[in-house]
Amino acid sequence: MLHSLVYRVEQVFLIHKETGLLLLHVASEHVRDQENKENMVSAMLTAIQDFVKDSFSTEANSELSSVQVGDLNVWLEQGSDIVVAGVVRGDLPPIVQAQLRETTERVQAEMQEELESFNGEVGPFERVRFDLENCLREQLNERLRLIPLTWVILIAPVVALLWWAGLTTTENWQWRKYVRTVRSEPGLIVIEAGQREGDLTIIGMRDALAADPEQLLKRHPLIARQVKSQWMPYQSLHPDFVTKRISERLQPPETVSLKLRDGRLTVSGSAPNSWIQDFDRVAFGLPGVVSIDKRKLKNADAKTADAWQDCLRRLRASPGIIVTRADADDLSFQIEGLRDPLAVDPATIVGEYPELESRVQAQWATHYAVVPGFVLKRAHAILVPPESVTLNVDQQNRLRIAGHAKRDWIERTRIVAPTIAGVSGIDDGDLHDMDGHRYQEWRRYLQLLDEAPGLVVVEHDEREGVFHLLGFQDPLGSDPYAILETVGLSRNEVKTKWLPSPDASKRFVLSHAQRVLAPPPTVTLQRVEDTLIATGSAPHDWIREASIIARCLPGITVLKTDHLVDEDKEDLDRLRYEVERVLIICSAGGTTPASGQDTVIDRLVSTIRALHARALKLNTDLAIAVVGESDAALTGGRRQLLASQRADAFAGTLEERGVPPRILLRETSTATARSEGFADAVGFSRRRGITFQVRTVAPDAN
Amino acid sequence: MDIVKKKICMLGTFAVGKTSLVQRFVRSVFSDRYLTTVGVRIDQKTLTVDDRQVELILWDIHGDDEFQNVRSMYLRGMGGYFLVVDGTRRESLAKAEELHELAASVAAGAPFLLLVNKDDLRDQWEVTDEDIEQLREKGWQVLTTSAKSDHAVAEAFERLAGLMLATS
Repeated sequence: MLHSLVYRVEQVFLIHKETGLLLLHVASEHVRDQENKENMVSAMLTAIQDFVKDSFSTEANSELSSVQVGDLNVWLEQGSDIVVAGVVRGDLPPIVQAQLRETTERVQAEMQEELESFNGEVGPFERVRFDLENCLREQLNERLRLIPLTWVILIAPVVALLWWAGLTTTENWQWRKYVRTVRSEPGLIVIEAGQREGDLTIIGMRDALAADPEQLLKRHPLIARQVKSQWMPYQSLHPDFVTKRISERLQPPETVSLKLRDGRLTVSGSAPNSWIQDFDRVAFGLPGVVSIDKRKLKNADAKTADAWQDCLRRLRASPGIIVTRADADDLSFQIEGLRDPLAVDPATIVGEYPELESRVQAQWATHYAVVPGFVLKRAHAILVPPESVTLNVDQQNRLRIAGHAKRDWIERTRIVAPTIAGVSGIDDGDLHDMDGHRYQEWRRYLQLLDEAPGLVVVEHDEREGVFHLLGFQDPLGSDPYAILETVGLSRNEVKTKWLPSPDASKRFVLSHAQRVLAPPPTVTLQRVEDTLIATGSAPHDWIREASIIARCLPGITVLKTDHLVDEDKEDLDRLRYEVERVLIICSAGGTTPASGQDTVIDRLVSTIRALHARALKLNTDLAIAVVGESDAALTGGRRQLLASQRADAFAGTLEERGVPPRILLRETSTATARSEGFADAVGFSRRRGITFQVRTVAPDAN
Repeated sequence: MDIVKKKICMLGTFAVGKTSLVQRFVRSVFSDRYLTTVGVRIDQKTLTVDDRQVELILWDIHGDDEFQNVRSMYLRGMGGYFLVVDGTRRESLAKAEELHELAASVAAGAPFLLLVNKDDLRDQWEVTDEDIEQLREKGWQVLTTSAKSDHAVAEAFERLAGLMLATS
């Protein structure tokens, strides 16, 4: 049979020129199964064109026009965006070349828009399948025409028969192709296809959603008029049809996705309640649906219904709002009720639910709630009481007004309050006129503050019956609240704010120290930085205690007493000096004091006792040595004895006069015990008397 | 289901494993001879990405430098491309960066993935983690693959197909 052909266009490739992607491919029935290689052939043809063009081309617009492989020719027709490649067995006649070229131009023109926006989607190019299939042509060997004319008459019937056979073959080929096409179409079932009473007859069943067989038949013009069709309606269970049927029947919103697999219909997304109800009612009855999975389907209206119920609950719970009617019709809501003007605005509550936007119609009539809480709220709104006034409403709706207010407010309130809705009466027994003596008290308080140390009033005024005051307070200064108590104002009437004084603490450190330390008049205190300096003189005990206390004073770290005279120590030294300057003259050779010295002795005893007292006060142990002196005329042992006896005798005298024995030492004079000058000064022989020495006793000596 | 077709080019210097990656991914029909004669070998693979059927037409382009001119023609109309690097040869990374410039000049904005191949020879790699991190900081998507152990090969093709659908 092959040898009887002049040519046969076996395959036509429609190729996207730039990408090499195959847009459409048609093949004659003579072509073996390509194993889906068309895509790669398309790309490879493009690569080869590129390769050849790049390697051999000399002209910019020259293109590869044909490739020959054995008895196969690949004829390439170039469009601006496409290449139509015809795979031809045998020699391609010019008329078919022309047809390929014309097809290329037509397809290029018809698909121009798709080609310009081509992004890989090849579905739209099915539109030109018929054009490509028209190129699948073949021609029988024309050697028969070369037979001598004389034979023509003889063999004319044979030729006619062959022509008819050829035509018939072509028609048969188109018929088989048509039937094959119809069989491959989903939703079309061919029950019978063949010749019946001279006609090509096809009988089958057709789903209403399937392709139109008459349209398919138009692609096969040679047999179009010969085919008698008979199609009976049926419903295909092809998933595409079932899904399409469900979509047409249910018209799902764009938010819903339907998928059918093995009879299981999966519906996902969100849909209104009405659609879901319709779906539940219908979906199970649809052919091809065995089970339904709607776990991923959300009721878009559920949120709206929930929002409505929640909104309604809040409105009913809102004080001053009474819902008298609430209806829901599908997703429209109506609400009616009463609303106190002081209640929360119902529209505000509804507005907090975006799901209810423009779905709620509301009508609210004004009413005045008479529950005590609302009556009080209303009274506040109408009377606008100052801060110094408190309002209360009891269970009988009686309005109690207490506190202080200006006279004009009180007068207005007494007129207005009884007219407030819900107020059954007023009780203003505890409401006081704040004009009059209160201002006098206030001015007096300001004056006292001005005089008080450590307090500085910065600003003050009176607002709504309450006095306001701002000032600086030194922590060591006066207590403003204590001052307040001295005038007739309460803390509720005077709102004060006292800030720590920025410099007062320094100013008041010294005065505070003086107040705490209470120095004697002989002491002067000064503050240098954090040191407190004391000058003058003070008792020992004060100095000791002040040194300790000063360290605890705010702003003071130490009390400096370098220039402060310790009066007790000074006194001790003075007494000591007086004791040591005393000389008691004894009678010659005797142990008792010579006459006429009583006054001296009395004063000596007194001085010693005072000295002892001071020492105790200063916590100092003292000893007084009673030093006996001998007569100058005596020598040796007698002289020593007399000196010892005199010391012993006078010490006894001192003991008898109240001097504690434990502080008395009995001693005798040595040769150098007293200076010559001293002897000259008293005018007596230095070896006839008793002298005294005051000694500090070391603690371990006791 | 609508079919979408996309042209993908495999780019990389010689012996980085482009052909091996393709062969691991598809059942090849054409002989390797085309690579050395025409400089390109075509393969095909059909994937389903996001419920769309995508037919990938893979242009495995010869890695030899002398085909540079031809190769730029082969890149026309590609929907995306792979830059393939041999992890054991650091110079292949520099070559990939050159090829990226070439590809960007032919198909500006086309999505691409850089595949650092031969993950099975990780202990011999000259390409460091820092190199890869620098590429990622440039916004490049980088995958380590092994045609030999089939590591991340299918993932690479699926990811590029997804990128192409997202940008088309």
